[in-house]
Amino acid sequence: MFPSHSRECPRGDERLGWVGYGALNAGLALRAIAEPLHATYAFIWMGWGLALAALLQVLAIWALVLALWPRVKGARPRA
Amino acid sequence: MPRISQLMIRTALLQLLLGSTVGGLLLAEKGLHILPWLWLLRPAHSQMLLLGWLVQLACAVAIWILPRLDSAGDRGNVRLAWLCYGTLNGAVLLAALHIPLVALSARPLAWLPMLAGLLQFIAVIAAVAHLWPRVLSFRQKGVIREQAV
Repeated sequence: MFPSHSRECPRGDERLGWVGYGALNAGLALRAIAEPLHATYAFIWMGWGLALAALLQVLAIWALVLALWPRVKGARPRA
Repeated sequence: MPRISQLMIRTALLQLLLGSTVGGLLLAEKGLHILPWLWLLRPAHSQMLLLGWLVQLACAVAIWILPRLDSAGDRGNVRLAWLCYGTLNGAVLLAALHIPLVALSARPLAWLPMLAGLLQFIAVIAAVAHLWPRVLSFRQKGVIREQAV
């Protein structure tokens, strides 16, 4: 939906989108496992699992914002 | 994309970054129990992600993409959109700062969330007032164009 990045590369660096996709889903899956386990047993490694889930989710957001940022611009004048 | 929408989307992206980073820190704190004072930032996290990111992005895209009022591309009263931008972000800032400021100053500062609520209300009214005339069917738009000719 956003304006294209350039004629040659309309969506910019798509690898950032893939990193965002992978990290967001891995972070959510890890959180879904680690959070109930941490609430039930509270082992220290489960705490680190939560921290890793948080890191993955934040990484995903940063990647997606970096991918979108250059595409927030006015329309290119038509040739 | 008009300038106001560019600015609103960029501000929304920044609030997404900041809000989700705070959320990530809170989740890590939940597991590691190292910095308990981080929980003071929880209202800031929810305000930035709900209002600063979601509502602001929705308003920005609506201002950009809804039908324009004439063939010259008139988007109506854009000052209302600027008012929405200023008051929405002011409201998020005040609501986000409330609990940390209360913790630092040891005063209730009850006027701060009230002012934030008032600013939110003004932002919503300004956005609706700007967008309402632009919710048109193609037939209505054709009639307006014919009247202009």
